[in-house]
Amino acid sequence: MNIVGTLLHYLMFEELPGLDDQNRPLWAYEGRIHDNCERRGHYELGEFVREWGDEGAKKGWCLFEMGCKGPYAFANCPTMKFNDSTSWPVQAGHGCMACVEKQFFDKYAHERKI
Amino acid sequence: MKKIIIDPVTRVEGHLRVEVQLDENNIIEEAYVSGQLFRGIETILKDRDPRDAGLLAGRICGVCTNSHFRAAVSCVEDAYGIEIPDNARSVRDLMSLALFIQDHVVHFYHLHSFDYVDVTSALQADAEVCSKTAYKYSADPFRNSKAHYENVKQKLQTFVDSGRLGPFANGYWGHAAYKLSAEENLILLSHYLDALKFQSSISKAIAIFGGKTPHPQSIVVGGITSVADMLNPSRLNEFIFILKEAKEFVDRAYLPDMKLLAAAYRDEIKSGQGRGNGNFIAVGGYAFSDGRLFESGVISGHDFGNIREFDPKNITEHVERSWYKEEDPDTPYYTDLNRDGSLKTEKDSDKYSWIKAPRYEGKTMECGPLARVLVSYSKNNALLKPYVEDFLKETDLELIDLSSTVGRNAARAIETRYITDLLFKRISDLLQHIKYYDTETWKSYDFSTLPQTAGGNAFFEVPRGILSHFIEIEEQKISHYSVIAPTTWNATPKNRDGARGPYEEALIGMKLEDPEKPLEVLKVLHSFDPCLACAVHVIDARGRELGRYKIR
Repeated sequence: MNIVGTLLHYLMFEELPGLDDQNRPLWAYEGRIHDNCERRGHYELGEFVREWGDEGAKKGWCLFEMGCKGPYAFANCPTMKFNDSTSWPVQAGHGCMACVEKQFFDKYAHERKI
Repeated sequence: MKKIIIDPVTRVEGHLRVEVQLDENNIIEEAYVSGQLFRGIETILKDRDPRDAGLLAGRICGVCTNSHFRAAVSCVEDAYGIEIPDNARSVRDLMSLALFIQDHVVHFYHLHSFDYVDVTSALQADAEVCSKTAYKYSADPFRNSKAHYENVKQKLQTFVDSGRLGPFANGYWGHAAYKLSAEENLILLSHYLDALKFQSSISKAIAIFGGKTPHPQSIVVGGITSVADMLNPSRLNEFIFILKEAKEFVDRAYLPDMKLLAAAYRDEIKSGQGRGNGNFIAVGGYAFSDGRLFESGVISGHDFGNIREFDPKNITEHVERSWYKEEDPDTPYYTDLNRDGSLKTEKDSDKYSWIKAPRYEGKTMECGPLARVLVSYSKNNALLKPYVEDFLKETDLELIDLSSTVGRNAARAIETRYITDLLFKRISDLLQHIKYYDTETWKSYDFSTLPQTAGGNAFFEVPRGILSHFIEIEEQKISHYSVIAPTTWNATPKNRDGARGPYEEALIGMKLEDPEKPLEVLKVLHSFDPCLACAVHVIDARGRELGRYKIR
């Protein structure tokens, strides 16, 4: 979707969108996922999921203790979401894996806090 | 002797190359199918935490997405003896089964239908005749008004007028192997366009529980994470409503189109075009309160009366003609191509593919919707039988006719309709659990107390056939990982015994109308629904028998 969006940006505005220091389009990759996350309020209040499927999980509490890499990732997943805005990993109860970041396999693709 | 090389084969997943040798009558006498890219995800998995296997293994493929994620997590659960709660199995099944529906429809319309549909001919169609024709194959055809067909024709005309055919470019338009009338072409083209929206919609159903698709992220060792969605009545009903819409298309467009194809290509079907050696393998599964969706079994030589039990111990893998060292099958060993760019196939020691050679009892096996339908039907699976009988009756075909190029597609469509209907029953299991206050979605475990050494495996039916994952854990890290994907079985190269893999065998004996335009070859290959990213992988150096993991 970000690919198509960037193409459309070029078609509509006749110039490439602004890019970040990794040459990713700012319109999609500027915001930190942690800052745009709908569960941020729970993070601030210290309401964390401690075990998959626990009471906090049922209430949609923050997944930071379950290894969510939202604080380290920059993308528009929380706002634009996926599949026609149906959902995104955090909404489905699993932390962000920072899959858009460099070396994500080695640095972020696991379920433990860094 | 003429050699035709098609590389890359398009409208498949991954990198597939085929070389066929023709005799003086343009009949295929020999075929070599090659997987062209090595990525080594299993090598990447070495030395990692087993709990992360799913996230990484999932990236093997984004088309049969979720399949590898689930299989990876499942083989870790098998290794540690973790039994997941029923609700977790239900949610995983809902995602997996919805994927079947999405995958099969996309495959038929967007990857395969242009092997049957001559797009340029659709421009000549009479919209009113289209509308009437559709009633031959359905009492309630999908979007069947004359106005709608005029609209589709206009869309197509705009493409053609612009001089840029877009997705319709580069087809073998006008080829003699096309058999559909202009109206039949327009009907299928109309559904091709509808299917674009369809697949987007059914994908949303997967995303409800998976977070997103491709690459859902809600499966963890021990269960699933999307408990909030599972308990949310609005989300549950969103899933059901999407499924209802999907059923409309499957019943009123997909199945009728298959009946249309069966009628138009009847001669081809009856002559067994695209038939392999008749060896089929299925592991079955998807049990729920009403029974089991698929049976397991092994068929040899189309002998439907004699189904053998599936035993993983009979699986072996070989690299005699694959680009790996025989002394150390985990190590890639690329022997390059001939100077003229063709595959090295002259000697029976020549290696020509990145795909390894899985064998069952030493024989090549076809897996996929056809295998599932044949095995489950022959084993009298009461849930599936009516769907097969219904189709065979309406098209006046026999079971053996399904073992053909068009037949493979029919099996895929039958399976899709079957799964769509049964998914409503499958979700009932989940609803019943929740109704009686069972909301468990994760089996608790303490990783630090799990065994240091373990081994496990997982076998699943996934859209293209059988998927198996094998894991060995030492010092709580993945020490070895291996995947055999459906396309590994189907696109397997030969071994030194010269026995052809399913893709290769299905091509033999076929006559090409025009060697410059090998549409017939594409038709056969596409009918298997190739996924090459999955097919290429590493195997266990220690023992060729991959079914004996019992280390605890």
